[in-house]
Amino acid sequence: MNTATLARNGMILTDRESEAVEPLAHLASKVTLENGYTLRSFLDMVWRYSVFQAISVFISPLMEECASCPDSGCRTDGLTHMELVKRVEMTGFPGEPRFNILCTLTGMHNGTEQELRLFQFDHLLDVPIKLGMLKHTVFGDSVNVMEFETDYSLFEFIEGVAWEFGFQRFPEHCSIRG
Amino acid sequence: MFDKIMFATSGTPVCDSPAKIAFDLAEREDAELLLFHVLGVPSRGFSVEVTDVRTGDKEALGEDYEAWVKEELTNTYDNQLKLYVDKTRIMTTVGVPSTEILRLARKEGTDMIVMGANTRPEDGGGRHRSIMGNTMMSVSKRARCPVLIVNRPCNTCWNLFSSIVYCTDFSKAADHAFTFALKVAKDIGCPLHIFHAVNLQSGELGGKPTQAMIENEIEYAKKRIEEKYLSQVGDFKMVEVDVREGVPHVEILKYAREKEGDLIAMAHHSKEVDPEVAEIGTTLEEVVLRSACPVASVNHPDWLKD
Repeated sequence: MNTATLARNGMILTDRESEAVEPLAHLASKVTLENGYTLRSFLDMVWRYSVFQAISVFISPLMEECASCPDSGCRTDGLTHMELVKRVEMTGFPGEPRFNILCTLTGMHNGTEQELRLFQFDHLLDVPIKLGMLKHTVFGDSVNVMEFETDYSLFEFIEGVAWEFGFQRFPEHCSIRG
Repeated sequence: MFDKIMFATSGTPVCDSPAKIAFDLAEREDAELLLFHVLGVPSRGFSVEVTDVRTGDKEALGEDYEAWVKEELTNTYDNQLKLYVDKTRIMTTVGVPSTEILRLARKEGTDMIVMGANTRPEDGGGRHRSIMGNTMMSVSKRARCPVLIVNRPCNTCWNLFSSIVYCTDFSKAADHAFTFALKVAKDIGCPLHIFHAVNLQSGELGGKPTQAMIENEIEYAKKRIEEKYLSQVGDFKMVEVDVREGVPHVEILKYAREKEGDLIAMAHHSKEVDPEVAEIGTTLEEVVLRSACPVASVNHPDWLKD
């Protein structure tokens, strides 16, 4: 499987360590992330390879939001990093038996998951992103989740990150008035 | 504005946020609150067992079980009940949740149903259409009164609503939603933002639209809003109109955030079809799933009272 290394500055590097010329050709490649890869790197990537913006309707609004944020220091003490997780779930009740595979980005703090929607966007841009394990949940038993090593394709990575940021985060005015 | 409100709950943490809104709203309106839980689906006709809707386990149905469930509900909503116990009725029944909710709503003549959307994070945060609770979808589709869907914790709640976003596609159902939005805005005394998104993805404008076509469409939409809605607002001055182009649910969410919307009001579906057969619209589903504020789905004009 070809590997696409995503650099901190948003570039996609091929196996030969040269920049990808045809970004779409790498959508099925296995992704590795350069040390210190952040959400800002992700946005630099979709800005650099604009063809990726069509993968999700939420990428453009995300880029607009990013433009109004400071150039650095967008971090929070509440998160050590963000992790892309592939989830495999078997569900059986209610409804018909079903097998779901999906990628989600989640916040992590000292080994515990944190909901990203609880954080403002300008606190997330410089938080590192890592690739996590595959988590297998059987029939809703979220206590005994099995974990496996896995690979992520570039498409899964882009779609998974964009999906998570399609959810509206808590508005600041809401928390102030509460 | 509301005399009787139903809070339909499964008793799970998913319903904590709707509970806060339901109790706040009832208190503000001095309304009676029906705290309603459906015990489970009968296993067979005349069965003495029910399938618990929360766990899927078989439970023996009897007075003890019903009393235990009521006690559980009382404990779960202890804090809210302490403040509003006099006007709250805890009710339970056995059956299919959506059917029983609709049955009770009709029997009691409730003015509003408050529910969660069933999108637990462990279920993937609503990644699949099936995650959107089937109960919520059925109730939202058939309810005669507005259904307030609360998918996120909201600290502002009804008392503090300061901005309502109404989204229209100019359908008949959207007209009913406008009547609701205007009434709520007047009642609370907060600004009402009337919004329409010209859909650039549907192909309705004919393939890839030119800038001139988009601008024409925006102008046309503004004119329709003026004729259809602004003509109804009367002396109420806190109304703002916006029309934008893009993917409707993305634009609605962006607009709601920009206007610091505390409530989004929209119709259940977007096409001119019989409400009894219409499926929940993709736009509403996407908005419910992703919105940070509650979404009111309005489908019928029946709840309107002078």
